[in-house]
Amino acid sequence: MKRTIIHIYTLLAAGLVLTVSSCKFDQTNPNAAGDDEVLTTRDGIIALSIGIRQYYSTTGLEATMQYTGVTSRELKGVGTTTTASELEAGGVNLPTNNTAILAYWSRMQHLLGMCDNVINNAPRVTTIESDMLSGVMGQAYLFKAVALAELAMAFEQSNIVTSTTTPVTFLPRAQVLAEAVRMINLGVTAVTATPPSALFTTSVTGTDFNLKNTLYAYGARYNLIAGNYQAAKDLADKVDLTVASKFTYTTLSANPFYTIFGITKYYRSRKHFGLPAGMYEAADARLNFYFSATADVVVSGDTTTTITGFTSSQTGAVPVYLPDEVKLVQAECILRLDGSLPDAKTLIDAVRTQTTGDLFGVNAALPAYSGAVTKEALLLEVYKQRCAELYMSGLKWEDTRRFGRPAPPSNVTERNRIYYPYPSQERLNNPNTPADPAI
Amino acid sequence: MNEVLQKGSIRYGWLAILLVLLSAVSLQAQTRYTITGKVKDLRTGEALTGVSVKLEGGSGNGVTTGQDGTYSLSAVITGKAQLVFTYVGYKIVSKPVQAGSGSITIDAALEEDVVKLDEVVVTGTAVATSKKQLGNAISTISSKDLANGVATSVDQAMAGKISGAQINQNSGNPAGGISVRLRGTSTINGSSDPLYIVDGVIINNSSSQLIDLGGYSQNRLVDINPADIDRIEIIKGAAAAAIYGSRASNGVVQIFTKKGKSGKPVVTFSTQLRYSELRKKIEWNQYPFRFNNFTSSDTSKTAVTRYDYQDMIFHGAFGNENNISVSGGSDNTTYLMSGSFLQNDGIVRNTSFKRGTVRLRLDHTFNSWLKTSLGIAYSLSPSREIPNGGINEAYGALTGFIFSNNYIDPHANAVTGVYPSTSPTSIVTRTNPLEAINRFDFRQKTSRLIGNFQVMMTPVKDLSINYTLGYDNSTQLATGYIPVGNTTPSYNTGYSTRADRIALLVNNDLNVAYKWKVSNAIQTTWAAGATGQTEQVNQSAIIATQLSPIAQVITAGSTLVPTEVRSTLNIFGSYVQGTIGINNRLFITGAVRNDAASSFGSANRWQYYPKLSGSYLISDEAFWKNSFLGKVAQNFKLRASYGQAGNLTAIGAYDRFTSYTTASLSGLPGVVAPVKLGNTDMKPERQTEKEVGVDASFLNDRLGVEFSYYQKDVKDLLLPVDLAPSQGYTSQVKNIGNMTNKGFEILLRGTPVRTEKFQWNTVVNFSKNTNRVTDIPGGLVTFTAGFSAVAAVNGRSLGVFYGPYFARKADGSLLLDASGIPQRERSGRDAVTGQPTGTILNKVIGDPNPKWTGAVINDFSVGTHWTFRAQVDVSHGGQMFNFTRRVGERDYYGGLKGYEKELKGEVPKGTSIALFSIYENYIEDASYVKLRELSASYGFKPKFLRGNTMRVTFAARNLFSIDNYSGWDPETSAAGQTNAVRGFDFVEVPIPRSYALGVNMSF
Repeated sequence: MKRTIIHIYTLLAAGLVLTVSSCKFDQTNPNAAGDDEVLTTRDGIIALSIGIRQYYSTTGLEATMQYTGVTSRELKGVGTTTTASELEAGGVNLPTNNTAILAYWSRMQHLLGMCDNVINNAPRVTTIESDMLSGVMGQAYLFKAVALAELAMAFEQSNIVTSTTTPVTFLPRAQVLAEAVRMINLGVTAVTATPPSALFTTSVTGTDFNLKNTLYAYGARYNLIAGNYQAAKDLADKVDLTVASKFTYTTLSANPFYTIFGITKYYRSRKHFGLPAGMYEAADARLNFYFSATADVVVSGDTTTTITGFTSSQTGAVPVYLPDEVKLVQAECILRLDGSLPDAKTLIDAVRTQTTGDLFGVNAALPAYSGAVTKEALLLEVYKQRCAELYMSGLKWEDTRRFGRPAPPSNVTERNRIYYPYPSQERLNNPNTPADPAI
Repeated sequence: MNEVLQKGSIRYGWLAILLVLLSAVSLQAQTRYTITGKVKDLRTGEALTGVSVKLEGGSGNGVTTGQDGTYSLSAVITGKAQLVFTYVGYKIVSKPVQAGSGSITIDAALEEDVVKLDEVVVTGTAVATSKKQLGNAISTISSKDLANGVATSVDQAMAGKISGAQINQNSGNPAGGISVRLRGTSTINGSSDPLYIVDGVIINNSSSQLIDLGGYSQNRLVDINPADIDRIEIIKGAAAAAIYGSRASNGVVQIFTKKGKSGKPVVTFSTQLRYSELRKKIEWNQYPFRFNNFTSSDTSKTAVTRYDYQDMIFHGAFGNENNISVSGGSDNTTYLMSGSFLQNDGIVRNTSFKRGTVRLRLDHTFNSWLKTSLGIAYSLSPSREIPNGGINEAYGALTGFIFSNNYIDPHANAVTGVYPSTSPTSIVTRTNPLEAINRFDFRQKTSRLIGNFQVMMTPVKDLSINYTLGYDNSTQLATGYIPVGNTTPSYNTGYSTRADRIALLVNNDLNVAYKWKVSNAIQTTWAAGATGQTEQVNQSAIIATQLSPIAQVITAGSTLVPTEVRSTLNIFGSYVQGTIGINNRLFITGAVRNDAASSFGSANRWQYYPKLSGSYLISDEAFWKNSFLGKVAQNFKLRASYGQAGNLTAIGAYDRFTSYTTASLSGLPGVVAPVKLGNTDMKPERQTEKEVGVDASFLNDRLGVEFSYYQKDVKDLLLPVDLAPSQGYTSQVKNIGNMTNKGFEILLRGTPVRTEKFQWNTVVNFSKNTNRVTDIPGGLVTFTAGFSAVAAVNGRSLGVFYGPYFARKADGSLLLDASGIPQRERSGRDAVTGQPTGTILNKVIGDPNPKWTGAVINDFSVGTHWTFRAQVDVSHGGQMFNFTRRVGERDYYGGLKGYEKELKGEVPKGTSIALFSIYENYIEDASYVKLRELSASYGFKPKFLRGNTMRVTFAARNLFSIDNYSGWDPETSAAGQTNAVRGFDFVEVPIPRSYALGVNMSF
């Protein structure tokens, strides 16, 4: 009997050992880092800084360039999916639960949240050296400005901070743009006060993305939209036009447009930049840059063509901004500030007559401007050049507002909405959501 | 789990032996007796082989009867001894042993137990317990119920055989996945499939879709060979959960494999030849014209030839299955070895499933108090797949079929071998189905070892200690290859993928039980146990595109996308349970379990789950026995139970964290915040089940009835909740939402005719379950696996179809637009035209959950040679979303008959495109009556088997279905084993009609 008991104890002990050894409850996740690791360590902050840019250059651009491209008639939704057909229909047929609108809104909110996380946490991580921190902060301010400006370019009102605890409140888009401009200024201050180190370049931005020039170029863009023409021109003047700033891609972080136009194919480009007759020139060499010579396809009465440009390769780069945008911003600022018409024309012609040498190969090879040299005529020319040069860069929809182009519902040739309605998901979960615009 | 406790008699035998050993010190002289006899079937007089014969009240090992029904037992008898004969499916017989001369002869005749109230079960109980004593319903299936069928997996074979269960085959592929729902669905986000235990091992029944096969996936129960199974016990809800705790809220299916019996080796061999075919074709477009374009005003047509694609895709498929086992052993050691090979071709050309298994089961008795058991089962299950469906990827064969217009001849060009695109427009292209069949190469292979080791001890009288160690390790590998230059919409430059998944499940269970007889009237059983479990999964996948020609491996790709996921889930649980039996007719059981799982945060990790149940065998009371009641109902038991259980499956091991995803840029390693915000306050979903029921037998045990009414309330459902995007995140999983299942189930077992030459057994089961989802934030959750047309809606059953519906006039007729075309309902009506205006409205347009299901199984034994069996399954009141028809009747594709009306001009051109967006148009009644199984079996004793039986069986499965469904089969689900999406028909392979001719023999 005693032997029996001993045997039992042995077995019980063995059993318990096996049991206890397999029961560790506080597991760390081997698949991914959590908030604890990312926001409190130097490595985490650096990785998130890279991630913010990667997020905007893939998921972000897909929404801001593609969806607004459909709304501003650069693209046509041809897929039979609900998202594409509703976006294509536009107007009152674009419901608040459309997933494209939700994607646009929530991706920019997500970007905003990540930038705020860096802005609020990076200065507390004592192991980050000052000339690394200035770059990290400069880039976070830049993309926070991007998120705010993109929200303002599609919605009448927006929040300017995210919150996981209390429902946010909304500000009119002028104030949102003002906040975007303020962020750009903070970013410029950060990188000029303490120039980021070479290590920042090699470990965060890489050589293709130029932070300082991008801050200037985007600062010019947002000031222009906000109506601060002098500030816009001053920043545009600071952009070094010999430096290219690019979003680059790998097969793991692929060019989003390659997927949209090369694989899923729910959207196609409209012929002639989607512009009505008279708004484009048939001789424009940029038609050959942005579109291929393959046969047109007519989809429900609209002629569509095959896009090339920055979309034809999975790993092809997309410009952060085009140097010619800067020239056109300068020209527009001069015109809107009632400055020298010939100076403006010179800048416009620099874009029109370029045959080689564009950093991204976007050469118009057109003759010099020969129309009336008046403020109105030149502004219209700026608009036309922007539509061609900046095709599908997510700017045309905002341009149609600034240049007072024909508006829906009476005229849908250049846009089929003025602003997007707020996504249902925001309204259902945030009582502060403003009323939807009529169109 | 507790093998030694499977049969009460075995246990008593052990106790008796122990007693004898203890007393052996003082009692030196004893007489050894030899008891011999013959056991036969009471009705037919046939000798019964394999009947267990045990002595109670003496010493000596149990024996089993041989081929001629005889046995011989050597024993020492002390005092009053009983010889107990037990045989699965028969009533237990006890015969007194009179100690007299040296040899004793005791014959026995056993009677078939039709009503099964005496059955002994172990699932959810501390020690083997007669079903009579249980407060909750428990279903059992014996190997006899599984024999002579065509089913290739355990869950497939279970269909229709238990009440309160809805068992659905989701795909007609040769190893098509199966969903089992016991008393309804009990979660939204997790899995509602029950916990499966094989010989004490918690096994992996995952449905991992390693590569995208269009929605279909196998569930891993397919690795278990049904021929190895001795019996199955099924507990449907939380009532018995104290033993299984946080994993038991979907019920428990415990499988016991066959084991050896002492005696000379017995070889069992069976072989089966199978044939499967498409049961029914979908009606296809045979109108010999097509429209020249898609402009609705232009009805000009061109003559075309229409092709029958279904003939080219499906074929009659052959298969075969062979099983062999050898069993036997000495008094102390028994063994069973078995091997099997199954090969089954699918009805879609170039698909097949093979399964090879080997199994060893060893049971050894060391001495009077220690016994061990070892089981090892290895299986290798390779399959050849053709992607179908189209829930995610659209490269499948049947996907291509439905997106084709059948005026294009899909055959490859005779000269170049190039397959034409069968898509009629260049806007939406899909794969040529014949190219998918002939050029794609998709395979899966699972290599799996399940092992269990059990130690059973009875150190002192009435105390039993059991330890079980279980391992289930499986390695799955899947590969896919689409050659360069093809008609797929997305992979014209070639596609190669490889994915693997290694899953290890380990469980250690220690259970201690003690029987304490307080007095003759009060007997109690006390039990306590603990379990430690771990589940480790390593999964990786690489997708390569832009391949170099010829080479099929992923290294041929110039674009590679790898993914890897690892996870470890640890679970610990312990319980105490007590049963008090009063006068052997009133039983009360109470238990409490404490559980923890590593997937939950420390605040809510430890959870208690209580249980209370009672049963009252009122028919054992004297007033019952002695009155007319006793004459009407020989057995009458009332039972009630209450229990709670948890469900851990709604979240993965690390889902409570805010997990950043990798986002590298040109060699710069980055991370991006997830859109899903973590939540460390989550706790397991909790289910409370209440059940009352009656088990009774009538007509001298010729008719048995089991009735249960239950209500299951699931609270704290873990659901992904939409956040305002301005929170910076778009979703978070929270404990929110509730669900109930209410219903009843009836099982009738009877023997309408029983004569010496003819017996007719019948089993009828009926289940009615009503599922309701409540308290979902926003009232609606849609599921992408059902293209967001499947939803959880407050106040409705889970998985209702939700979408746009017809605009109708006040009288219910369709409100057509100016062109005479149906249209979607909108929020308002134009005051002038009366036409719909405003936003398009969605509503619940259908429900896949049947109002009730049932089955009737009839078994006939004719003479000594023939048995016949027929099983009819019925499902009533559910609906299907015929997404297949939605696509196939649309103008762009138009390969189905429904599009003919538009071509013939019976409806305006453009009608099909309008209907396409009115989901209501595609909701169809899914009620069916199916002849699930039909078999005829002839048993005889050929000379070469020297008195052993050989049985020849012809069987058929899914022979016909009576239904109004226009698709292939109202029993399909394109989203595989997905929990919430049911009844969603999108070109999933239909369930075939199968025939099998088999022979089995033992010698």
